[in-house]
Amino acid sequence: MRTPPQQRARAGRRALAALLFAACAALAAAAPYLPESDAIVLERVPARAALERLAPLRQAVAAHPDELDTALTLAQAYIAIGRENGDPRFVGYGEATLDSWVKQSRPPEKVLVVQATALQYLHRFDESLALLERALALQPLDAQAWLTRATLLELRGDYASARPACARLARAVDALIAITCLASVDGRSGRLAESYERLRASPADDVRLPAETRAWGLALRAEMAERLGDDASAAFDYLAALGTSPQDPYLKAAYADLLLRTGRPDEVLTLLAGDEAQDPLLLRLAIAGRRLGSPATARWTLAYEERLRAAVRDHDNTHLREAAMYLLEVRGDAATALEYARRNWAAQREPADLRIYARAAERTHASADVALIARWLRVTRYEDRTLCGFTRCGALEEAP
Amino acid sequence: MKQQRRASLAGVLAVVLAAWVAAAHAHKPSDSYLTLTVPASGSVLDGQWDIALRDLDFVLGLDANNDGAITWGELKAARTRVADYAFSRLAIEGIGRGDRSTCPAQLTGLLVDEHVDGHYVVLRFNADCGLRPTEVAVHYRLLFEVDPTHRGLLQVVGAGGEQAAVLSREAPRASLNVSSPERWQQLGAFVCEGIWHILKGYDHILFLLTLLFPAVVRYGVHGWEPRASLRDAALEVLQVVTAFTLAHSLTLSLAVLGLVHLPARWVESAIALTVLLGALNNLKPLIVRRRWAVAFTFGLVHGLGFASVLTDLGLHGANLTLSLLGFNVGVEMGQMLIVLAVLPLAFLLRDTALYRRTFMPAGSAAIVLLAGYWLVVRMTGTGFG
Repeated sequence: MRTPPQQRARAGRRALAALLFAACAALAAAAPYLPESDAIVLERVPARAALERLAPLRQAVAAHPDELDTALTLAQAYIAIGRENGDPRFVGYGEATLDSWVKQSRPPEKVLVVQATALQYLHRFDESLALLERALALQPLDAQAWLTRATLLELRGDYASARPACARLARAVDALIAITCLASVDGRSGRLAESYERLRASPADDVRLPAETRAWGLALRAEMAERLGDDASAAFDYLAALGTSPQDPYLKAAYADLLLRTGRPDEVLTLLAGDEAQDPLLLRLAIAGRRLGSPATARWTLAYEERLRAAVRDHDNTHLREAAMYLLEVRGDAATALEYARRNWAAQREPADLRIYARAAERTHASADVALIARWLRVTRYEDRTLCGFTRCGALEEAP
Repeated sequence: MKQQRRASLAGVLAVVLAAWVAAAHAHKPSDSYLTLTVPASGSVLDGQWDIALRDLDFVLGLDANNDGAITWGELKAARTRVADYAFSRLAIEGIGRGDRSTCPAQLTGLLVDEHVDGHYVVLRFNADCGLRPTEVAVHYRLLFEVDPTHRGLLQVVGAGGEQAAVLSREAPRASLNVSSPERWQQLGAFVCEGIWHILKGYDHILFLLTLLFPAVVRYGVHGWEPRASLRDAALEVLQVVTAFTLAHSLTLSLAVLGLVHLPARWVESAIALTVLLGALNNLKPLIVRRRWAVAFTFGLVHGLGFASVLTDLGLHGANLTLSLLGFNVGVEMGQMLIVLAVLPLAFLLRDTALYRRTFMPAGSAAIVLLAGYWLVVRMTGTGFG
């Protein structure tokens, strides 16, 4: 019986209350103090080893601030550190490195592409796409620009536009990249089984490939197997990908979600031991700990809640998916979880975004959302066996 | 040629990985927290600025012995550098009585604090504006030269309440009014909130309607009969609405002051129950006299419902009385709007059989059904879609 404006007002009020609560909590927690001794360690220098390796490059940029290639290399290196550590400030350092070129009336195409990568990582998808468009107008053969564009469009669920972008890669770069890109897009738009087989037949897991390429191919295979209902193969490929990139937070989170879904929370505790510093992984620990009744659960939950509050207070919108998972799995507040999942769905449409939205909609019997998801599944012909229990499986229904 | 191809491939690979990660950041983005307190009298602002050590280390190199750990000793040794760096990137201006004046910051203390993403240095400082400001303008540039994603979260605390702004490289300036006229704006805001709440809260409107429908008629031996004069009807409405108002003002105040607290689900369910009972009483009247007493009793419940809105909006300290007053006035105004819309129409139609034999029973029955549905949904905490 609730009308949308009422729902919005309720959501707004709830958000306001959460914000005020967070502000009060922050005030209560804020108790500046004078450390007792000079030897007390306050902070570890972040990504110290990586920054040390970059020192010569930083000096080179400082000495020759107008050399574009050096600056581009440094900017990309910063963004890579930010990605590995999940720390957006390094992405900012990368952006700042290119600042003098970005401010030009006609920035070089490479600068636009690197800046687009940075914005993409900061979840500013629209701005990122706009920059890529400008870059491609200047240099239609830029493989990086096409691949980033394909990924962004795929992330948003615009598979029809993502596919040609992947296809353009075949002309610009190694065929394997293009094949993987196409398999990913096709696998989400009605040709899952076929794309999965094509990817398995490709040399995506060849040990001679660079680690990043292998991890990408393996992770994609795992994701597809999971959606095909083959959890055993998915787990196998996730583990293989983790063997290639053992610290990748994205891979760890995806594999932990599979373990949680298939009733193996004890393995999550082993997989993520020592990863409490990474918010998304801390959340998976809290969920697994809760299912197992582990003594550390309360500590993990409290720590995650505190970081989530800080994110809400500071308008950090990159936490919507995880916030929804937390509300649903830990707090059992399905109604608020649905609000977050819905907002998240408006911004990004990865498999995990769909799953949390569907679960929250199912739990609250939100028929409008269930219908919206069902329609989206039908229109895109997106397939995911893990969703069959609750709603129609899109094209899978017709599959044998 | 081959070399070139490999180089371009390496470039692409860097992007591939970035493309995967649409997940949440593991770390908070870089933010600093700047709080300025404007004194009730005098010209000196009291400031506190929390800046992440991770951020300062990147620009100032706090780790003097290069062992990867920043100690309190190292931070203390860098005290002047930290203060110079920070304050050279912050300009505060006080505005008052048509005058503008800069308020130079003077460090008064160096502390540390632990936030969710690690330790922050806490700079305590004074900023003398030379005049008593009614408005504080801040121009913020910290870290923007190395990190365009950095933001300053500014809070200005004054007699008129607290105000906040987010400062970024795109919007590095904020001007916040801290004088008391703000209070009147706040009062206005709460009046609007009150009106809005009544008008969009279907349950309150329906309850009012169950009270208003029978006000233009009286229950006699032949069932509902029209009242003779508008004066009678208006008097009845006045009694009922006044009783309702007194009651919900009472519980609203008690709840907002924290003297009464009931779980929202009970209150919401009870409100649905009042609507249900009110409509039932129109179908099969049990209470036909002293309907103001019914309005009063049920009003107590509705007041608790209003309170949850006000607590959600967040009230504390000096603003409480004013906001409570504003919200109440708003609720009354909203009620009057409904009465003015419904009463004349109902009075004109009161003679018709349509009104008494069809509209009143059918309308009341519809309200009974709706309220019954709400009651179930609210009590069980589920929706049927």
